[in-house]
Amino acid sequence: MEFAYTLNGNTPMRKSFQIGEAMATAGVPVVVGGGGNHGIALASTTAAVNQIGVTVDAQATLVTAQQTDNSDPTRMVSVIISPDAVFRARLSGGAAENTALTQYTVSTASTTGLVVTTGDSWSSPTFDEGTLWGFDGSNTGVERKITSVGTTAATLLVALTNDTVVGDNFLRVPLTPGELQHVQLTTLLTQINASVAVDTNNANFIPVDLELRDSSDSGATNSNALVIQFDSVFSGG
Amino acid sequence: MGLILWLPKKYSTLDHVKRKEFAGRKKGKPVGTHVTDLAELKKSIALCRGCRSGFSKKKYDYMQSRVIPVVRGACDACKSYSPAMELLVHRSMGFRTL
Repeated sequence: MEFAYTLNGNTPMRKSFQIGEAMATAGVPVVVGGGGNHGIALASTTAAVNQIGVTVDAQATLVTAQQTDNSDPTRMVSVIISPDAVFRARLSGGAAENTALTQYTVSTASTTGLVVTTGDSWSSPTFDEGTLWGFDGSNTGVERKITSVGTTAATLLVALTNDTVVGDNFLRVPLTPGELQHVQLTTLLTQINASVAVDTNNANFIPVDLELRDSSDSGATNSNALVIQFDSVFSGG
Repeated sequence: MGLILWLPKKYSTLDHVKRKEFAGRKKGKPVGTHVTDLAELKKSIALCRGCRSGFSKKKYDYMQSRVIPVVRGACDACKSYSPAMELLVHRSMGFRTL
């Protein structure tokens, strides 16, 4: 994930920390290592408690032994620690990085624009309180919050702009800006796994905004979420 | 003999964080050596206005980060706090990917 902006507009604060484990990838969330640990630790795909921030660079190897040339064995990474920093993360369609979002094809048209029926399950995993948007077809680019789900359809409270047509494709994400929903991260911790149920297996980031792109802009591989830390140790709360 | 009180200290989470903070350039280590060590490890480098002129971006294939162009914090060379420093990163990490 990449730094996007801070909520108060200030320049982000950068600090360097000793690592407690190898951090081969930059742009990953890190957390307090805890007592007995000699450095900061990586968050996990499903947890990010006591967050310090998101790394700016990487340190592929951890060194603990005294060095024969008497060089310093300490290894460190730089971290953006501003608790109001918002980070941009790609929406991945699976646990692995850069997995395309799955397209859901309308199987039954809706003349009210309040139901998106695709024949796929929207309830397991549940996308209730998530967001769907038109990838192509009559509602390209139109996004709506999902307010109830079923085994073949998602229901909306606010209608889509146009009727859905058989063959239209939609994308979905288990996030809605402004909701208290935590995310699941991908394997390398750089992206958000958008294939899991809403607010399941919490890595403590919440959505601030969504950049949902359609077929004209490779939306299945080019949509992002803007998220903020929910459990920063520097937030003073 | 005076009374000695032993009061166990309760460490907070921020105490743990503070202990893991990297102390920066070690006392006695030349400034230039420390910064070039960072550059050879392809670490991000933030230098205050006074120290910035001493580092050659071209020599180490560094650039100002397009992702985070400016940061606050301690200068990697002189350790003084600066509210606005160019964040220099290796060219392989300088551009936005999202």
